[in-house]
Amino acid sequence: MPFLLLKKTPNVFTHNFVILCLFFITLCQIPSVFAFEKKETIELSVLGDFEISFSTIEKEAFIVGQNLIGEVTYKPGENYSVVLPFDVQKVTYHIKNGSYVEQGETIATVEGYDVHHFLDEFESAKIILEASENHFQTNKAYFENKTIKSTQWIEITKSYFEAKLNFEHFQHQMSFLHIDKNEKITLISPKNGIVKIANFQNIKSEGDLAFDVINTDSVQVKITTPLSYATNLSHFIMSSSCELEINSFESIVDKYHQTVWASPKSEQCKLTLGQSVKLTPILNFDGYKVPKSSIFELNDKDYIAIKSENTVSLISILIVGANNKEYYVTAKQDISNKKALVSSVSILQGKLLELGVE
Amino acid sequence: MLNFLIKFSLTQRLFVCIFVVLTLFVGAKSWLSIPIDAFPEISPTQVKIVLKLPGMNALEIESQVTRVIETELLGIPSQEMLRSTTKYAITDITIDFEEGTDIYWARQQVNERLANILPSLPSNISGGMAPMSTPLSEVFMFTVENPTLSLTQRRELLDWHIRPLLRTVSGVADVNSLGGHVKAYEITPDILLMQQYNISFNELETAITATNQNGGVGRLVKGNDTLILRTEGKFENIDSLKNAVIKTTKNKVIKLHNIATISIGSLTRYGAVSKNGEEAVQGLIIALKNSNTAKVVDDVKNKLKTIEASLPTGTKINVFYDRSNLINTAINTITNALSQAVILVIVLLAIFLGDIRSSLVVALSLPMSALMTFILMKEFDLSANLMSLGGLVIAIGMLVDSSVVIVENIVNRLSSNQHLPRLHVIYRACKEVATPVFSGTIIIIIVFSPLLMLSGLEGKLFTPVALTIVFAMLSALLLSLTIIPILASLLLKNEPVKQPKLVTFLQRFYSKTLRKTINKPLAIVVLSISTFIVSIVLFQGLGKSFMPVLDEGDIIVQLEKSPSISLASSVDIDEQIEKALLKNTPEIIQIVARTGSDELGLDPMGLNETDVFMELAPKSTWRFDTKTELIEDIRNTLANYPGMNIGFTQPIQMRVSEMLTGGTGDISIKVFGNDIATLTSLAEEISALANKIPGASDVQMALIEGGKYVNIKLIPEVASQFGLSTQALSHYLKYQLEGLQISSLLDGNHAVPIVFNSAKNITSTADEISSIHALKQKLILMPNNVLLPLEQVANISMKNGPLLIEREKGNRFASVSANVVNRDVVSFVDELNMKIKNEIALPSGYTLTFGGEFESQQRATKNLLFLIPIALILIFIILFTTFNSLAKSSLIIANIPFALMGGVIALYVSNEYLSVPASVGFIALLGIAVLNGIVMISYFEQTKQAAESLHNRIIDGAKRRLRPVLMTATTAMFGLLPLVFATGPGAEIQKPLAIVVIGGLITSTITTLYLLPLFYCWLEKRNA
Repeated sequence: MPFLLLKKTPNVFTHNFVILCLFFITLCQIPSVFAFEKKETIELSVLGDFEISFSTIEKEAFIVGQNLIGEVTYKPGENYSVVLPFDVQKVTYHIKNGSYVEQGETIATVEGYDVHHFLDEFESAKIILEASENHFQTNKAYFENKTIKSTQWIEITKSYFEAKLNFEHFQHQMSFLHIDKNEKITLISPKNGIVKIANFQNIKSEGDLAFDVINTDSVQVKITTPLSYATNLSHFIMSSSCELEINSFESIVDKYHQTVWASPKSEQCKLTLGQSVKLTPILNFDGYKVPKSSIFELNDKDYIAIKSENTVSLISILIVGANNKEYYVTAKQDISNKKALVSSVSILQGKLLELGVE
Repeated sequence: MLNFLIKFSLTQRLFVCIFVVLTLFVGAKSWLSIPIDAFPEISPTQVKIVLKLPGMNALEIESQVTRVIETELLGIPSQEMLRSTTKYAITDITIDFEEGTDIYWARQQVNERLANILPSLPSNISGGMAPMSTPLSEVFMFTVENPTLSLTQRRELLDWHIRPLLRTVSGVADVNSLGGHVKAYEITPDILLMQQYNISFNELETAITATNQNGGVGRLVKGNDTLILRTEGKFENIDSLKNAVIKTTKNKVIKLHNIATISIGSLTRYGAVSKNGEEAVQGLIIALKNSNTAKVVDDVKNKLKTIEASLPTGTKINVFYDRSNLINTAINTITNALSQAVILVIVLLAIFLGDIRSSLVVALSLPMSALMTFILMKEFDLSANLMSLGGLVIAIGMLVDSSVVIVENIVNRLSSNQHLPRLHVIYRACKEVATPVFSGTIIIIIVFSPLLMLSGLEGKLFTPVALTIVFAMLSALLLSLTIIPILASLLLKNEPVKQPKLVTFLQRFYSKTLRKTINKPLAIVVLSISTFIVSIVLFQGLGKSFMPVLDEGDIIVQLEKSPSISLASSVDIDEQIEKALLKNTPEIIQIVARTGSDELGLDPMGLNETDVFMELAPKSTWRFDTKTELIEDIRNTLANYPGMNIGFTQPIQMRVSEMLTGGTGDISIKVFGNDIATLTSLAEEISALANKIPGASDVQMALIEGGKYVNIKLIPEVASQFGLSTQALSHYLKYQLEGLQISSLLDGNHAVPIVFNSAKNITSTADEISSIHALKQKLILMPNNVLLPLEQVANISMKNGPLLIEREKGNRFASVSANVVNRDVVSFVDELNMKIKNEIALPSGYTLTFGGEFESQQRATKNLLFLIPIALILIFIILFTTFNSLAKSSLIIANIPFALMGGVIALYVSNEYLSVPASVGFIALLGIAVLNGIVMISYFEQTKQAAESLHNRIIDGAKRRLRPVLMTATTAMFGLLPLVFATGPGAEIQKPLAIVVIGGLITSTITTLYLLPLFYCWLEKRNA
């Protein structure tokens, strides 16, 4: 215990000394703190004969972001694809790419050596199916009577269903086709929607995509926006008469970008599939609109001077956007409808920097 | 030699007369062709380099350009000073060479070194050596007025119509354009479209520059003929620019207008000019070094008259500064003083000589000496200016001395030797006094020789004074030994000339009082010694300054606003001040304010700095008696416009101060060191101390700190993913903010820059970078065609940095400048120095110097204190060879302090400071006092063998010498009297000189007339 006491004595002294020092340091800081506080309210008279004018600060709910490019497209999977049923030598499209078509409307005519083969194949598939069906029905009774072996019955069943499947496949392909008496084949639209022809040049082989039909409701604008925009996006403006509302955000982020899907609010937008459109993003904002001439910098912070009778108070603000004449700012306190000094602001700044003081 | 000259003149009278007439004709021609200026050429051989680096801050420029060039230039021989000022986007490097260095050699040396170093400097550098001008070369300023033309059109008119024509005027080094907007074709690429088409900025820039070219191919031989081949691609107009093909893909041709907006705009402005509250366009004529300023200005005015007729209807050239006004006023002031002095001297001659013929002969020597002086001035490349002509005024009183002595002796000899051949008598009379006349002139020349040894500004100012005096004295000497005897032989009669009654009265009075003095010397000795003691006391109390301020007739108010102010706000403040000044001060005719830098970068002010130039109405219309009162009135008006630093100066004064110290103000205190923050803090402390000292005015500290930099530092790990480098980012952002000139388009006779500029031609307001937030959000088109906000690839932070970096001989310094009012500069500096020593502890490695007027004053004092004793020793040697007596030579030298005391008292009474002109006055006084002493003592010595008592001999001798002594003194006094009462610009410099000489001559004449005979008497008695 004596040992502890002995040890404690200098510690107490040091401790007290440190507290005393801190107290004095704090005491010394008080005038400078007050000085700064004092600085925040300034008599208007310090501006002398310089012009003094104010502007009312307005509350603002939106700010404009930098333009982005959007692509008029459709979400993956919302297209109805039509492929060529056989190899062709020539495809003649009868509608313009991107046209709106009704179900059953002729899209293109196909010509080629394989047309005849296709029709033969279709006929033979039909005959095969009929034969297979007869065979199946006949042997079904035998199988039930256990006249034939189960292995034989499996083979017959398999053969029948293969023929049926094959025929249905042809039947399905034929639903896109119209074949006249001269064996001229035309491709028709399976749905109402916009036709999108994939590639004119390379449509030749069986299985090639002849066209897609996209439901008009599925056509949207896809915008890749920087992540920082995504969180505050409200809507997009395409033109003075066209606004786009946001439909969805993709949940997967592409490193620094996020994909947004938007669709027109009105029919005046007249979007064309495949079109690139310049869009102005409108961001949600909770702040104020102040004239550019009202803002000045002091000690690495931006301020505006708010009028209060014959004085102005300095309010620290944060600039988050701009238009031609105004800044969009946020402030820690409510400054809506307050009057901000908009002329001779640099003089106020000069006074605060103690310029002209002799 | 002297005798031969006199003999030859008298025997070859016709030849000499014709020769003199021819000489006078040449003299008159010289006078008409001598370059006329307000001041002598005061600038040293100086070469200035102005380099512009758009977008770069002071620190970067200092490290990448200024230091590099300074290191290269430091090796050039014969340099005296290497000084630089680095600010945002510009650096000015000035090299002063030793006196006498050939300017063309100096420029060649600098050019060679600059050419070596240029490849290693940043690629966006432009500029080079400034025109071959001096700081005083801004001789003529005007604004281009036309209310129907825009600022761009007016600037175009100035740049491409007026400027080229004015540059053809001989003596014009350049025409600086200020204010307005420089037309440019602005290309604002749409980065979204560029991304869509996969076009990078490099591709776009290359496509435009590569297309916009006409090339020479060579010759095609076609049978017996040749055809010249060329390629053509230059854009002819804005439409061809719009249709420039940028890229061709498989099925698309992408033209410039497909991906960019092309419009007519303007280059980024670094400064502006406003006139009477509205923006204006200003032209500034820069005269070539060593040109005839008055002639250049006249030629410019004539040229402008011609140009004005060819300008669009309603366009006027409004001149607001014309150096010839100052030159004419100053030269008028001095020539008026000169003509008045001539008249006064002639009247005095008539009074003292009492004979119109002899007065005429002597008086004729004045214009003849003056004309011969002009010949020598022309030969020695001296211009007619305030100083050189002032020298002539100073010399006027002394010019007649040699002729007076010659003519007086001729008159005496002719009247007493009427039976001898006339020419023989004249020859003998001249021969008798030729040696004293020659020695007297040599003494005067020796007296003024220290002025020829002065260095610095004082040397440049007073060398012409001394040279003119020497030329005038030599001319007068030559004339007194040649044409004066001839004129005397032709005009003077053989009859005895009756002494004027005034002289008789004065002689009677003098001999009476001198006798009393010799008999009872105590009173005069006590009086003289007590006056001498009083003068010593007064001398201690005399204010000391370098040079009186010349009233140039115009006023410049220098404004320094908040360092981060924008150009628009700065101009707005200027316009408000201009309107207020015009409203409150009717003495101001017009105001032209210049903010920021000029086109050539000769005076690279910041956007927060403004020179407000005021043209004043004639003084007769003022409400005030003096300019000081007017300045006070302006100061009162400006007191209502706070929040900025204000200083008063004048056009030439401002440039001289800048030339001497790199800044303006009577005093410039420089703190040398390395750390910017420490330098700023020390300068602040010194500034605060200076402000507390009585007499301090316009104390200004050059705003070194206060620069705010937005620091953009790429995040390398992220940036590399997109292939973005710092260089590419700088390039990209530069076009977004500053604009990037990539080519030019010939529009008629002028080249209009083609610039990438999105700052003023943005497609969306949100694209404008007008805040840090906007900068962070700015979408950047990455080299790999990805758009990303800047903040994703770079860290953006604010940094404080210097606004300005000044260097001397490779060392950084901070400066505080101040004007001193109602007290002398030297005592002010002493007090300030004392306070600095007591209150500011300079850290290790930091030094402090006082410059400006004070530096010049100190140097001048040091030089004069070294040179005057040498001159006195030379005079003493001449005296010793004349009298062969150490005691008698000392006696004459001893007369000098008594002469000087009058000068001191006169200075004190007239409230003038002890300046360099006053010191020159003391030097002149020294010469006249010695000369009078010689006149007196030599006669005493001549009559030594006379059978008279010592007292009678001295009194008789002194009485006989009364007239020449009085004539020498009064002609010198009255010759300078017009300068004391002259009020026009230019009189201020010579006034202290005239006051000192006149005051000194009063005491000097009294002591010469009373103390010198008394002391001689004591000396003789002791020797006996």
